[in-house]
Amino acid sequence: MKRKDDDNDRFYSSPSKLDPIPLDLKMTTVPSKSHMKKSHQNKLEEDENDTTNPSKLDSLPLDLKMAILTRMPAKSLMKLRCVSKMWSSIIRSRGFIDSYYATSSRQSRFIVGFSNGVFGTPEERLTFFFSFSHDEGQESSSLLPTFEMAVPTYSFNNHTRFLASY
Amino acid sequence: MSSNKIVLTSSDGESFEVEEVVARKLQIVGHMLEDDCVINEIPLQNVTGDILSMVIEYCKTHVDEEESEEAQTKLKTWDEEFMKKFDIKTLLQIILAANYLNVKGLLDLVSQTIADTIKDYTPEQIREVFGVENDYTEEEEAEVRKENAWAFDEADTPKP
Repeated sequence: MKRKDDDNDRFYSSPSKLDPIPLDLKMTTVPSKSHMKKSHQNKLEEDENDTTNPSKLDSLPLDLKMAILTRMPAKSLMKLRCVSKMWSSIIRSRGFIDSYYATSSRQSRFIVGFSNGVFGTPEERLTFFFSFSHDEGQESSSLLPTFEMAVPTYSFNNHTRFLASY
Repeated sequence: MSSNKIVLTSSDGESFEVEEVVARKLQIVGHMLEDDCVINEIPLQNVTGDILSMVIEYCKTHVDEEESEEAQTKLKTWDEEFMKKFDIKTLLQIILAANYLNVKGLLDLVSQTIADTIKDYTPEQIREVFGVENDYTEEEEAEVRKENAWAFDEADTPKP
């Protein structure tokens, strides 16, 4: 009970603490306006959050989020894991990874990595990734390699889980 | 092919008179027409006039999709030019509208355009544009960034 009172006190007293007294005396209407504005602003912000949410990706239906993310390069997806836990968990989910490869026919079905081997210090080692896509224009089926990216080999252990889930 | 006119009305009361073949490109309208063929005015509650007009522009262009390679290339070029007109906020509204109105081709096109637009964004920009709340603690974010450091361009990766 006491704690609640304290909270109330803090709540009610905070606006006057924020406004310097001299300002109150000089321009009596302005501070009261700014109080109004402040509370209005808070309300507006709340309203805005409610009404603008439909135009924001986080409240897009999951299938639209997937539709966008499945069309992104893998490298960007890794970066987007930093956006939020929610995004990270979508990107790492089995459902997403499945549809990532199902969505686009130009996405290759497998990736091959080559390391530049035992030379150099561990920090200098790179793993080069190539993806392969079918060349459908020809009668005989052939695979076209595409260079995807080079990843420092030493940071590789952290990604084993992700890559393994491919 | 019938040249019946159908009136589509947006959530903010704007009306568009379009040919039935164009309106049928919106699958939501197609289904309504199948259920009851006497409708000639259709209210669309979840889309505003300015967005609806863009969707209609797309549908008019794609109304008779020819198989010929030349026609396909022309359409593809038109699609690219069409998408260039919009900023990311508008694209997000179009993707919602394309989903609601069920225009498959447009949905694919906008999804790809959004993906291409945001692929080089930093996580901060993504949060800002899409209104994503960052629910990582500082330590957690640093950890995820470190794990994925190689995915960042050199410019925005802090040197260890």
